Amino acid sequence: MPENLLEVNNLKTYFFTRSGVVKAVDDVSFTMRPGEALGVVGESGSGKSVTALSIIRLVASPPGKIVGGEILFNGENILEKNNDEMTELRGSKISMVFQDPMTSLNPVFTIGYQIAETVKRHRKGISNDQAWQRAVEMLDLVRIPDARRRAKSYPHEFSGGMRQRVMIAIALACNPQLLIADEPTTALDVTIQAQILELMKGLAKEFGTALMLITHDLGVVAGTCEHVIVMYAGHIVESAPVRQIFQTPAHPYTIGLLQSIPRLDEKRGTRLTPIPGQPPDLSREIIGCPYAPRCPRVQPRCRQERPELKPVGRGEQLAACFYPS
Amino acid sequence: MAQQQMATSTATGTTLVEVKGLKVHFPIKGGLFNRTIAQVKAVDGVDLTIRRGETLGLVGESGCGKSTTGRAILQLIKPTAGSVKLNGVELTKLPPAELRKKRAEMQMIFQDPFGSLDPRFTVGQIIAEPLENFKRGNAREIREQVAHLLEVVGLNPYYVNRFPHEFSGGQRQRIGIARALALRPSFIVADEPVSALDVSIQAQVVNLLQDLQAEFGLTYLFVAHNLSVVKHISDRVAVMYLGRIVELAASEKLYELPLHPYTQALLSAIPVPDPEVEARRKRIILEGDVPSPVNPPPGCNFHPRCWKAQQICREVTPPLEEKERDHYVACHFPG
Repeated sequence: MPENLLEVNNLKTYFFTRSGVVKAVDDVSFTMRPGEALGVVGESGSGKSVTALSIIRLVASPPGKIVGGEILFNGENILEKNNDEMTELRGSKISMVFQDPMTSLNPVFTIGYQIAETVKRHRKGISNDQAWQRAVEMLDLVRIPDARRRAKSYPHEFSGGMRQRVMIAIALACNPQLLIADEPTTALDVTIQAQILELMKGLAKEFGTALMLITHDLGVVAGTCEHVIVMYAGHIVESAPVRQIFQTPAHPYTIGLLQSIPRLDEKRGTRLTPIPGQPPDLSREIIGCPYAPRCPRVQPRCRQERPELKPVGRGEQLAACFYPS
Repeated sequence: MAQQQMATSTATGTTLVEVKGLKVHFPIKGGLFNRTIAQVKAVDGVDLTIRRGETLGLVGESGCGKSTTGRAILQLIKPTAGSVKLNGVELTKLPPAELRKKRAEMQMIFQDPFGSLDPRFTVGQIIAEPLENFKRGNAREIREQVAHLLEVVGLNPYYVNRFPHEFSGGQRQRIGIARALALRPSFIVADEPVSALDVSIQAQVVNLLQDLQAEFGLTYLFVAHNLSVVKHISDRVAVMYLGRIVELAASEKLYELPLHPYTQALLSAIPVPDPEVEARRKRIILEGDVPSPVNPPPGCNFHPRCWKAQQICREVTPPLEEKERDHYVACHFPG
């Protein structure tokens, strides 16, 4: 078995729109070890969700298309698999939890039915009763009180937090090796967010599932992930173990992000340091470093050449910057 | 309920806004004759004073009534009961024409920078509209004021003839702020003004709001669910749960020593962007969800989720009382 569970090499996912080609993900490479919790951080439009959708091959096409690179899952290139093979893989080996728990469930089927359906799809020869049992077991696992009875409920009878638990139950029902969670708690209140994160962390550990957590909230990453990649304008600008991202950030964008968020434990009277300007328009050709127009440390070279993701001399920490901190 | 609160607040600074016993109940209609069959008690007895020049943060989870409170204070929603005074003038009893005049003094900044600007108006028209409505000068004077306002919020006056869709979310929020400032109000309700923005843009808008407050002596009611942002910008913070205020204190104090179990849980649930801190923190994980405001639990609203709940909590609603100087809490067993 290969050392890495997931290896993404030079992934390029473009969207071909009327107003031009949007390079949503442009030359992205990273790896995940089995059981690892990886955080993917970035602002809207940075390409983090498209990266995830590319891995599970759910990029809407057209207009989207994976135009280059490879995605090795257990050593096999996902991009070479046909639709049937992908359907087999999704839900059993790789599953995904989406942001919006309100629209991810089918309103006309019971919760239990929807979990059992996934189980039956991937476990040949399992009886209806056994699948239902598994559904109840999963609901119990994600701490839905009175699981046996609630399995017969419909999605509208559940609150947002409970629906997200159901989504996690469906995602984990077949013991996948990789769980991708795309902003799983963004639509939820903080006290519910804490419940869900705790649950995902615990279950991933229990089952040895690798977790790819996509979020814009650096706080969520700090408490949940072991390794973090920071994306900006379709590129990975920094990749490092979680402590290094927060203690010795190397890329000016990462530093800018950390300085621009108010912290609950900050001193009174601290002023935020915003990042000036806005992210670039991805449908236009970007020459040089995409962060150059907003970067406080920009040099002439940054406007001409694009920096590669390279080690900064602190172990596993990588940054795509000519002048990292 | 909290008579003492009023007394102390006025003692330490002059009061601009005074809210007493504010209630907003929305009827649920149904049945054979479309009668009112139940009430959503969105705001159920809120007392607040907002001091001149301060920022009062109002936090809580979705459905707790924080936005409704903000709107009811501005009389954008008619309160079911209670009194709202701005500069000593009772707003709830004002005739419409008088209230309209008062609106120049109190403005609102909305959450959604996409929905709150009319797409068919140019930026200039959007900002000029309140000035024209209140006849603040002739066409040339209004044009000058609009240009000045754009500059004040950090936009190039050159953009005056552009339409909202040509701007990013952060820029649109600046346009919304310019419009709110146009009539030189003394009081602004900002309802989740940065929630729809990306983190790097949030800081720009938060700083702008702080600069404007210093420049124009504004008083803010800052409504948001993000406690880190609220703590950053506010002098005092009020925590709402299911239509009531459960705790009110200076923002550092509330963070350092929350007295209400709900505030404690809320604070502990907020992730801090620092893995060292996160590893050390103890998290209070609340069980269950916020109950429905149609049938709020009797006694203390929070008792079904509270780990300290006793018999008295299920029966008697705790009043908002001053437990320490300038620190109000509605709990039978605070601390």
